[in-house]
Amino acid sequence: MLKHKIVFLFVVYLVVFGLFNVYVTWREVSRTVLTEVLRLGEDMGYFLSDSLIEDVLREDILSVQEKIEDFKKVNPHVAYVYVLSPEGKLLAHTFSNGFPRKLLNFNEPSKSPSIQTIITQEGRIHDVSLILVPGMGGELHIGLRDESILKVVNSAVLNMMLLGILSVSVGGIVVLISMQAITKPIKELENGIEKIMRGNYAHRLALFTDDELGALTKAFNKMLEELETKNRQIREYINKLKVTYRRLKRTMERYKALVESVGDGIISLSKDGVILSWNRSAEELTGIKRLEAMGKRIEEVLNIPDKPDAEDNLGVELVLQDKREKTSRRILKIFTRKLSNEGGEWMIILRDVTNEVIKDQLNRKLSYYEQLINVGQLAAWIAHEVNTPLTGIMLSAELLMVECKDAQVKARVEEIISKVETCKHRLDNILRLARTSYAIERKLIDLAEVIDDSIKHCQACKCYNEGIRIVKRYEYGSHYVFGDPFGLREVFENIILNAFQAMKDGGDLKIEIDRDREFIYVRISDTGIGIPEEYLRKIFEPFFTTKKKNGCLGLGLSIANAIVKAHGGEILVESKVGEGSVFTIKLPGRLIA
Amino acid sequence: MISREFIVTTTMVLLLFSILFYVYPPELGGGAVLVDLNEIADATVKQTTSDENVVYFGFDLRLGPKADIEIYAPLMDYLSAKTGKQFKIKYAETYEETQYYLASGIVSFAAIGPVSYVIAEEKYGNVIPLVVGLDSNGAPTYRAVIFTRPDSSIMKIEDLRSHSFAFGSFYSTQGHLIPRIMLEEAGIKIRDFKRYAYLGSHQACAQAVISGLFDAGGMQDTLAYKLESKGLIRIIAVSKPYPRSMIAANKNVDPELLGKVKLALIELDPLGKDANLLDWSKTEFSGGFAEVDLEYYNVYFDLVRRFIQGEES
Repeated sequence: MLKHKIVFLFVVYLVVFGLFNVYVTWREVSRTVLTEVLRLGEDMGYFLSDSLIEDVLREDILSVQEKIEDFKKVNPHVAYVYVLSPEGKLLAHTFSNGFPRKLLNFNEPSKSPSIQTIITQEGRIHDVSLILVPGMGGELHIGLRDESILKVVNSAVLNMMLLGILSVSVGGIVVLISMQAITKPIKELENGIEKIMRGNYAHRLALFTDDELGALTKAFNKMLEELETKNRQIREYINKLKVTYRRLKRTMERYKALVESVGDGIISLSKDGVILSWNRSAEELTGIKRLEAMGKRIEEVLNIPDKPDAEDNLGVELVLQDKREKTSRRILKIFTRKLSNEGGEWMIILRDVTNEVIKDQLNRKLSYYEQLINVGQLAAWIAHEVNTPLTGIMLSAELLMVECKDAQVKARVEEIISKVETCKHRLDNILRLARTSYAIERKLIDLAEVIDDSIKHCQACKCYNEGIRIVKRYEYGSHYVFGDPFGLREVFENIILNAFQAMKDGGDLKIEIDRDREFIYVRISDTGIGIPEEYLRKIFEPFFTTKKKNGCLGLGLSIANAIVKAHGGEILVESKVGEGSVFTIKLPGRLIA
Repeated sequence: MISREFIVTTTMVLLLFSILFYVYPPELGGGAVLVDLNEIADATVKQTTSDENVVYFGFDLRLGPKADIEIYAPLMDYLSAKTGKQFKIKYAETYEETQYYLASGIVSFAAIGPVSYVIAEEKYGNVIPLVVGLDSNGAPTYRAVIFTRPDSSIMKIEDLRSHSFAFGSFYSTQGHLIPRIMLEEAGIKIRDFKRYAYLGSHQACAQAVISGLFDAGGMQDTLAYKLESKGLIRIIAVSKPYPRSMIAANKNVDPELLGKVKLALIELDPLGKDANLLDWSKTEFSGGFAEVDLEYYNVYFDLVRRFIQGEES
């Protein structure tokens, strides 16, 4: 307690400084008294030595003895006297039991008197020694007791101490009573504070005094009043906050349910792209669980083409592999939108558009096939309509052939018959394409001969120019297949003609035949303009052409492809824009050798 | 948990008492020695080691043991400081003792009168005069006087016949030899006195006459003038000047020490820097010292043979 602490400190202070003062006084008085006594001893020594000099010089020991004994008698503080001659001989002493051994060679004086304290059976004695005969030597020793002197001093000090103890005791009691008066209001203050701490803000402290403590009590009571007002305001504010909180909570739950129940995946992101929320639909659409995604950066979770760091972005498509069905794909449309809150957060909406895209693709295909059917029907009608007159031309030409004897005319008729056969054959091909099936006649043919025929036929076309160099790398009679010679010729012609068209400024056309155990590979390469990558997968589609201006129907390569497929083979194409193209016709082939 | 106040208070108290005990150590004087008073010494002579550094100095007793020692003790300190040796007085009760001590080397130096020098030299042949004392005027001489009481009827030396007469020491130059010469010159022999005695010192001689034990006496001039100025005596005759007392040395003393002592004594300036060293007025060298030739004291040899050694035999 404060009261006890102050009293304790006061008593400690009084005791410590009281002891300090008593000790200092005692030491100072003792020192002063003893210094005076010792000075007196010195004076007595000079006086005595003066009276002894002549006796000592004459070695009148008896006289010396008498004088020092008389001296001791009249001086009660003198414990002993002894005299050593200049030669160091003990001349006289006052010890009744004999001269103590230790004092013979002891406390030798120099020019000035010397003082040495000794402790004996008779108490503490100060030995004052001085030179007996100046210029000659000899010693006079006087032993002075200080007990009787110090007894007086100690008695006085004891009285001082008793007085000090009494003062301390009285002082302590006075301080205790004073403290009682001082600490009572403080205790009251403490009790009041405890009551307030327990919530009793209506409590007021009683006013005891008009001093500093009274002012403190007044200030405290005023503070309590303000505290009570503030407390009431805080309680009202808290109640309002509670109501607001409940409303906010309900709204939050509603929005949460809304977000969770929509079919679109909704993801919120921090300004830095860290995922803050991930709704159930996002889980379903991406196959990524909420817990896996939360806290990660969006780039680590979804490969989004456009990161949400630009302005709002609508409708970027993202194709995701469905984790549940690995063969199927899911197409999502991604909308990013910057939220208008302070944190600069973003929102991503994932919308599943797989079904819409598939439906769109199917519609487009359906339209295409409908177009194809219409064209096929048209072609079949044209073929049928043209085939009949051609048959008539054919029959007439064959009759003319029989009847005509002119060789030159005959040759011309033969050419007509050949061209009509070609036309008929091509019409058949159109019909077959329209029927979406291609029946081939199979006979053993030497591919080298077929290719030669094709080259020859193509060189007769307008698209051939003198700048084109044809390089043949194949042997005759080495590469036989069971196949349709007309069909395969059409295949090669189609490809070669395309090559000629690609090399309008000249170039190399290289044709080589290779094989392995199962297939024969006819590789036709040119150094033409090449085919753009986006066209490569479309060139075998019917009616696809880049030469519509020339009246090209876009059926050549699709027919060629159909013919090769009917042979159980396939056409492979590689091309680089500006460097040229390589067509490889892969055909099942038998090794004839 | 010890509170900060407790630590601070304790530290302050310890600091205070540390300072207190440093300033006021509990044991006054410190280092008290335990002495058993019942342990009795079996010898009565102090254990002293012979110190080759000590040089003993003797003197002819002039004013009495205590008064003479008071004069010579400061001189010992002076010579010790000047030479690096420790000079100590060797007291001799008689002139003969001093002569013997000096001649035998017991003392290396001695302040003696011409009579003692002559006797020592004649008897032992081992003494040399080192320096002569000067009076306050710087003269290396002194005189003796013959005196009576102021109320005496004796007015001149010749009136002394049939009266009692006091001398100082038998071997004293001023107290015996010169008064004898003065008496001889006035035609008075010692047998003409009613009675006479050698009282050992000038002071004893003066006291004896003043107290009426003797009618007249012979003594040194310095003390006599002082007594006369106080009206205690009346001087009836003053001698002519004779060489003053000296500091003599044993011939075997280390010449280096001899030189140092001679120089130290000559350098003394009783009227100047060394005025407070001792009471110069009581000495035979109130004007200091001066170097002296061996022949300076030759005047005394015949006189001593005639008045001192003749009496001895």
